[in-house]
Amino acid sequence: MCRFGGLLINLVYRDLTVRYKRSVIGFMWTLLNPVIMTAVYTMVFSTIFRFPTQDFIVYFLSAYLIWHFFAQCTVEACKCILNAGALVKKIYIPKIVLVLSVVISGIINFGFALIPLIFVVLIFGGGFSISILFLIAPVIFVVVFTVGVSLILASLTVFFLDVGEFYNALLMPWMFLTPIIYPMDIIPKEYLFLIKLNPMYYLVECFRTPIYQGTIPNISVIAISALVAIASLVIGYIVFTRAEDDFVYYV
Amino acid sequence: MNMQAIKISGVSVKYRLPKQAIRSVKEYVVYRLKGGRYDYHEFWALKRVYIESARGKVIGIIGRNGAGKSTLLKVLAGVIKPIEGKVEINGRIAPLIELGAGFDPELTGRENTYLNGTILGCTNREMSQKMDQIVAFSELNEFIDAPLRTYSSGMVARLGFAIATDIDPDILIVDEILGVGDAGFQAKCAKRVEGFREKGVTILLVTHDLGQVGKMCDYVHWLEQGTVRAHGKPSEVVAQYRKFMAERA
Ligand SMILES: Nc1ncnc2c1ncn2[C@@H]1O[C@H](COP(=O)(O)OP(=O)(O)O)[C@@H](O)[C@H]1O
Ligand SMILES: [Mg+2]
Repeated sequence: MCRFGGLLINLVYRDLTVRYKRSVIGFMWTLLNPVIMTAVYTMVFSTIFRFPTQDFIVYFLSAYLIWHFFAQCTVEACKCILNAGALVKKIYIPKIVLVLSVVISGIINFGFALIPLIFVVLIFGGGFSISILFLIAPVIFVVVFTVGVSLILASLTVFFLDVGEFYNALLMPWMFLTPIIYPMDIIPKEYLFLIKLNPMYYLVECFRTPIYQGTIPNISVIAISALVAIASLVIGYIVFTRAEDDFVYYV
Repeated sequence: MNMQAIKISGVSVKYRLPKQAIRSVKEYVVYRLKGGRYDYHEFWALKRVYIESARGKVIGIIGRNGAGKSTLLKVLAGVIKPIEGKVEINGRIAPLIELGAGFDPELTGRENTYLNGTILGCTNREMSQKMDQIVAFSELNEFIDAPLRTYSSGMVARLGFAIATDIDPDILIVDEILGVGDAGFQAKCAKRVEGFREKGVTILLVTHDLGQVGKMCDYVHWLEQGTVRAHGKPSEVVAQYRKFMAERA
């Protein structure tokens, strides 16, 4: 497996060059997508929810970056084994490398997307407090969670080609069930459980609190984030290793 | 050392051919609602195959189309896991089954060399050291920094062959690919394979060229419908095989 570290690097390099080096627009889009989304949602939602605009921008963008990272990686992951079908059929590689390369590319994109976030916090927010040092933890949680979900989706899509379609359709409602664009306190008490069943709620909260409120998140939020991340990875790993020997017959 | 380079013990491979091509959740749900069961034909591409080879031998594999030769090489390369039996390989294996696996048309020849090399299990540092040799052998020169989509198919094949054979293998498996490029390049390829043989690399060769088998191989296995029909000295096995084919014709 570690013999294939170089392959992982080269796959990520390919992803990024094909997306960036040969098109400046591709790179700009990574930076601009969160900015544009923020502008649109700010106009719409800060009027609807009468959220103070300045607060909303930081509130939204910090959560949206986490969501966007997760959504982008998992959507890409659906196709990653099938796209490499020719390779899988011809030669041995540890197939997990294909999934990991998708997530690592996503991490790099996420890194670039932090640039607008820094500006937004400096301009519209209260600046940074020492609690931003804590952010490394939620980033690790969300990456681990994403790897797990990606492993599951990548395996399933090999056998059932339309899993990606269903997953895409699911993402929109899932995003709206995650408090990204609205504050938690607009949720009626009887529906609160729906939010609390959603693992992305904890991951988003965990990342947003140090930026938006300048404090370390609630310990239960941290604990649940860590738990869902590990659970996702374990399940994903088991599913993937059970399925991978059969990929060659289906790609 | 009397450790065998290759030891294939009782290997079987079964392909499943679904009776209904159910490849989506929608089809699956509909099919299940109608009370259908997921069902498939089984096809044994290999049945309890035993092959072994000492270091430095050239082993030929012959047989008709569909006999299971490519499947056997894929098992050796680790592409397919056999449903029973064991494969032991001692040393680094270079699969000349498909050249240029993972080549990306958008990347340059050089970038593809790193990508393909790491797919074959080399590190990027090893690839840097081999780069000049690979460029020279493939005769690509300054084209190495052009995107692969601008190459002719012969150039792609040359690059693929140069990479695959430059990774200092202990075991080489070759599947009917010695026919790439023009006559000059083919001669170079044959020379390189001959060079490996002289260096004591174990070679597993699948070919339809029975003359080549006689000249190059130390031992031959004849595969027929997934089983070893005969094995032994090239001259004897080839004679049996020719007779068998003549009777069928
Ligand atoms: N992916 C596959 N699915 C189902 N059957 C296959 C697959 N690959 C090969 N086969 C069948 O297995 C048999 C052996 O194929 P192969 O190993 O390619 O033979 P050879 O290389 O000797 O011509 C053939 O009958 C072929 O049709
Ligand atoms: Mg074949």
